Amino acid sequence: MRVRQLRLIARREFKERTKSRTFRITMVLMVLLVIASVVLPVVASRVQSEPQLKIGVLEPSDSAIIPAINSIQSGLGAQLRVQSMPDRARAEAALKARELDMLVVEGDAVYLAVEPVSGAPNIQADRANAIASTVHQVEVLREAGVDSAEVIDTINAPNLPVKGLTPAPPRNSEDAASAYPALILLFVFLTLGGAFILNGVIEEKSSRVVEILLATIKPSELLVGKVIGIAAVGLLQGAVLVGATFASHKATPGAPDAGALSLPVVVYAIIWFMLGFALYAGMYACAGALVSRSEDAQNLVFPLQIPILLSFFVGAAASIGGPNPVVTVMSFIPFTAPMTMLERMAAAEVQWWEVAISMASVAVTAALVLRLATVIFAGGILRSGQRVKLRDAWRNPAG
Amino acid sequence: MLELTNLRRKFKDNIALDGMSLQVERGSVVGFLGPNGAGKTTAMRVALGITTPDSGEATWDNKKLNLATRSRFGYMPEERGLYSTMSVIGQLEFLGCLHNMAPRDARDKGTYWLERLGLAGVGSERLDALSLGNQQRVQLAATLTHDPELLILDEPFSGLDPTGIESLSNVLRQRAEDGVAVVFSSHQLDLVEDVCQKVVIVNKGRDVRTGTLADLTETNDRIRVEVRNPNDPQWTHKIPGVDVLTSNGDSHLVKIADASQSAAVMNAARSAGEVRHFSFERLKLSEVFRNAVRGES
Repeated sequence: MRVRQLRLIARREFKERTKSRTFRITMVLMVLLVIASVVLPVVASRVQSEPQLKIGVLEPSDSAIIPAINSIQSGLGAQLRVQSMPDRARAEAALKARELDMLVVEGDAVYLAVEPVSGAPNIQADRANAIASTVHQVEVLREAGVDSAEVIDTINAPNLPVKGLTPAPPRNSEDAASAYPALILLFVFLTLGGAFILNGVIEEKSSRVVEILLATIKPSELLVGKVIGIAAVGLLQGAVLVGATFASHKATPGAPDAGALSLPVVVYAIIWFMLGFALYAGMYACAGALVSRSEDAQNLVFPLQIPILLSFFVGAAASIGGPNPVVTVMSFIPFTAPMTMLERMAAAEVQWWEVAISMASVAVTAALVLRLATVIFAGGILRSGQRVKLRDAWRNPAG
Repeated sequence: MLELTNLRRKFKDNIALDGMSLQVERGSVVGFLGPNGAGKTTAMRVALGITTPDSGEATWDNKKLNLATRSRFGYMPEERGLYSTMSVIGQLEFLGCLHNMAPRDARDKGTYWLERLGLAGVGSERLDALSLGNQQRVQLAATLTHDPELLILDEPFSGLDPTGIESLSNVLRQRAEDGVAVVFSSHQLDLVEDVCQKVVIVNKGRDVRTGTLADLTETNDRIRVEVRNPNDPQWTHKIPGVDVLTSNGDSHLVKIADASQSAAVMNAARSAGEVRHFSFERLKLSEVFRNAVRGES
């Protein structure tokens, strides 16, 4: 492979992609999206303080009920205003008029203005249930003869700790969470990069410019040059978006650190992008070489998207939900390793040799795939018209 | 000189090349003729290394072709191909660089050819902003920018207007005068007659007639004779052993059995009246083509 020809192909890809209007508009929109995702939650949290919950308690016979309800305020995620109501009719009228959010009737029920739909998620109903449980505890304790002060202490006593028989695997939860945005970026760039490769190959094939190119360069040079050029576009996009993320975090006081990108995770994501892209790009190029129109490519591309989608969802779930044996297995399978191993690395739950094995498996598979892809690419790229069968492309590599 | 010798290539059950040979000398323009599916494009692709033959040999100046030699060739495929959204000069520079030119040289030479082909000032425009005819001229400029030693053009005249045809014909003649070897395929045989010195006719993957235009069209059995105010309008029919092919007023095209009969025709013409014209008639290239292809099938 000649470096000069590779550079020419890669430079053309990079230049043409990055100077297109669509690319610039997409970049601006993505940067705005990143900034908005950092800034808007901060702004929203400032504008919207904790909701206020007005609770009426009907003629409490027990003086412990109101303090008990107030004592669970932090667990309810709302500011409580608990007041004693003189009679039921006025209390219900206040609830109907939405002057109250809830009405606690001792020994009866906790009422809401409208009965919540059973099974449907409803934060107000959850709060009502928590209050109902607390009131019930107070009633039981009082019946057992516990005095008011002790009732409050008992309700606020810490729960039993939950422990494991063996210690938890080392896991940096913050970094694991920071893998989530990195996973999104990796998923977007692998998918976008694949689409760029696919469309680029189809464009060259359908416009027949490939015939002129192949008169001066080898199919392998065209394929690898294209992959390098488009990978560079992906890295540029990634750099801009990561820069926008860091900058908007820095410029937004109060932006939460949780879920934000961390520098080590960015480095891991770059490494896995390059390895993953080398692996998937060859397959996308083959798909492009076998068809003459974008419409025909969709069926061929779908199987290629399955491992990317699967590893994204599994990796994303693990970044939020914790270690998972499925993720561990997938992080060693070359086609799913880029995203799942990125998540495990971010969570710092892997040994260096695990990373080395995973990277080596992806690198070796990518080299093999690119080698096979070159043969199929060469066999399919000059055949126009209907879809080329994989077998025919393989058997007639030179047009 | 480009030499393709005994090329064979099969695609599944379709034999594209079945022992085809072709020679293109430096300084000559060769017309590469054949019906659709005769193997012209496949042979051209073999010369460019795009297609690998099952057997046979392709050489340039007696050396096997490789990427370095091919980078000195210029190719214009039948189905034109350039990047539609790229700027005109951008792609000339890109393709020139792929042929080992420095970027600045490729730009300068590309600009020169654009001007020469009547496209001055379009360099910065996107290709798809140009008319189809002008896109074809850009394609030609892309073929010529790197000063190729061999030009391989697949149907270069198709889609060109008369001005474009004249311009391309002149360029091809001039390139040949400068020592470039030129081969092109075309179904426009009058253009081939106008531009080429040599013709290779192929059919079913084989070369069936090869020679200079003069050799291929020469005959010694057809005479064009014109006699003004003949004393006998039927004089041509009275020459023994001579068939009259066409008659148009005083002008007749007759077919003789052998060259020795030409004297008999001349004598008969003199007897009939004032002889204004007497010559052996050349075949039209279309006739040579038809005969060659029919003979094969």
